[in-house]
Amino acid sequence: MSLYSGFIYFFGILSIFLGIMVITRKNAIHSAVYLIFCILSIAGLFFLLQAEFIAGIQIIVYAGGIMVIYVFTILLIKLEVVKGLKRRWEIKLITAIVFSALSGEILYLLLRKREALLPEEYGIAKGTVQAVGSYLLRDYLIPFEVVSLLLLVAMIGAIMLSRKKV
Amino acid sequence: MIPIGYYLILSGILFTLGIIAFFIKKDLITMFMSIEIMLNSANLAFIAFSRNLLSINGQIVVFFIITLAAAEACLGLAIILLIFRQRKTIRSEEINLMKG
Amino acid sequence: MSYLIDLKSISSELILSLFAVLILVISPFIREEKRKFITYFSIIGLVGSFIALFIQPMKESLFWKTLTVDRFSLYFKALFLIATFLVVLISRKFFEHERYHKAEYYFFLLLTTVGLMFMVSSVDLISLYVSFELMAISCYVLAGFLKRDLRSNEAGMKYFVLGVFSSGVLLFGFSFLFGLTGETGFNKIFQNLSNKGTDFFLIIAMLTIAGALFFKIAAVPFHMWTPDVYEGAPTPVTAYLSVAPKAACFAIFIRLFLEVLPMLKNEWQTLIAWVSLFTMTYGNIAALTQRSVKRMFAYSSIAHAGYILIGLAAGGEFGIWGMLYYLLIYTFMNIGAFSIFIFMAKKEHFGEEFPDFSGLAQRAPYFSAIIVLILLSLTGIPPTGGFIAKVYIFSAAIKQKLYWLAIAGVLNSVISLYYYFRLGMAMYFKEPPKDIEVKYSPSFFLLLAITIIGLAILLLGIFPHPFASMAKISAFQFLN
Repeated sequence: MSLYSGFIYFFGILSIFLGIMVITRKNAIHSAVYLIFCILSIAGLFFLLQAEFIAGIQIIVYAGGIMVIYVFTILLIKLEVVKGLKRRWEIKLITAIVFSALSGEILYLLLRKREALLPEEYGIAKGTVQAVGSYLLRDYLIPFEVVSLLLLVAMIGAIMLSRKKV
Repeated sequence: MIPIGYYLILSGILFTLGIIAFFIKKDLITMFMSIEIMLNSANLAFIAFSRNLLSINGQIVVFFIITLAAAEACLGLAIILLIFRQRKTIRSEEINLMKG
Repeated sequence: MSYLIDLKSISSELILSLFAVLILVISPFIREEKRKFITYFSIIGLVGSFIALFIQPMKESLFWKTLTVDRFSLYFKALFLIATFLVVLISRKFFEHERYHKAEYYFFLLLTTVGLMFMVSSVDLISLYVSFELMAISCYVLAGFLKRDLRSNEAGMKYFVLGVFSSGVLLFGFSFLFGLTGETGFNKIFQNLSNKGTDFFLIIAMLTIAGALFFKIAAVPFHMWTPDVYEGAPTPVTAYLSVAPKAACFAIFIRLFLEVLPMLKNEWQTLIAWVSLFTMTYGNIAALTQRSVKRMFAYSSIAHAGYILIGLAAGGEFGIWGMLYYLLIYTFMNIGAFSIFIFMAKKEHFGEEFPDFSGLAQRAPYFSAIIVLILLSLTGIPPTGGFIAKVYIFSAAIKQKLYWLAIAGVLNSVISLYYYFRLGMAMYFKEPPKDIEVKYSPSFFLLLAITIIGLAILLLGIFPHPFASMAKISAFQFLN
């Protein structure tokens, strides 16, 4: 096992562990901190998959921006520690169905014949800022502009809903 | 080297964790966090496919998903603040005025 | 600079987003009493955008194959603009009565429409997902728009939590579609998939995408948010949510399933046939026992989604254009159905229960007559457009030998007769209560909207031919 695949297994197992920690903590602020580390370890996987730009975005925007809003909100509303889980039977049923369906899918994947190995390097397309940027502003110009409208909507909506004056 | 199946299993496990947490958690904030885990698992699948197929489109999709996640988180937390100010609770089961 | 020419083909979207942003920019300079001006301004924007639809050139692929402007998308864009126009007409009275008439409302409404218009012309997973989210995020804000009303922000919260969950599921489906082909354009995905056989992952992708879309159109396994959100959201927003995003998701269903996934036709036809059966049966049976008229219409709109799905399950010539025709008439009758509450002003909020409507025919004969017309059309009784639409849909099912589905549809229409006419009975044959707290209070815009709706229902029922042939031309590209 090379160092490269060692790192990949390390980050993979780490992110599963952190994900489990996120959903089992009782205090929301603990979950948020574990989620930050989970996002960072997924960013590590992105680096190893040669998506350098996206990995940087993941760290700066996701871990550094979105998660900070979460932590701020939790502090603002002084979250009481929520103990225990929902007790209604239909929720347990849904959880059981979803869990068995998805674990079935994972088992199927494990038992399937091995796929082709990953190539060592990208042929042409590398995930650098230059490559991603030229795609964004040429081929995906329209989605890029629609996203600007979307961010405007989210910003105005958040300001309108969360300010105290009605 | 690592086969693509490994990443898909990883992404499937994370997606399952997200769905389970969404259904069993009581407070809205942790429910939103479980949605973030689901989005991250989709991101991982896109990046792995993009590496496997030598196509950069997957990375563009992930770029957009991260932007949208930011917009959703900002709006969702504004809604949580609004709900909390009026009812002093964010437990999803207690927010239930309408029945019928 | 070849793409500058492409801008001409999306000029109606550009006009509408320009007006939306302008509303936001000029609103701080307008005094509270002159807010009426914003309504006129957004109507001008909608009319301008509607005219641009007929002038702009059609083109098969725009902006490096992320968009297309074909007859199919133009039909839906016209439908969204009509729906938004009617909703703008009925909004002012509502928000003035709630003392919350804000310019931002029109901003969100117009941008939702822009999102819908981009959605129906997308032929690429990325532009589809991004415009889907633009639509969804503005809808979440609209549903929770009345901040002081507890029911409204509860509706916003429920819609948001489940909506974000469903868009995560949609994304998971898209990731498989991308992973199987390495492409994001619909055309290339289709070519790539038709060279391979059906795959286990393709089925998963189909199921997850269908699930997320079922959520947005409120089909049965994923309908649980609908009554609460429709009851809690501000009434004009409810009218909008029950029509425009639903129509857009049906358009996405048609485009994705017929253009990208025709190799799974047997699988998705079976799935949709069963879903449509459960949807219409559940919607109609749950509507029977409601006390609130608004909640009853929420369940009835679930049932209508079931009828429209029959068209998709049947496919073929009658199926697709039956769906398009049904969506047109559904736009008019459902906005009409939800707009009736705005006429019934109470001291606070509006009259939404059955007793509020009793004896209405004596006080407001014209208004009651139009309500009866809307109810006839919702049930599907002859002189109205609802009848013609149901004939198209059910005959499509019979042509494809889906007899059981057609029979179930007819039986369901019979059930729906009962609860629609509970409202009619209350209006015509019951005495008004002694202490009337509900005041019938029309405004010019409301009367204009309800008159347009009444005329459209009659026109679509008596002279269906020009509109049906329009729907047929629009559906043509999917017929061979």
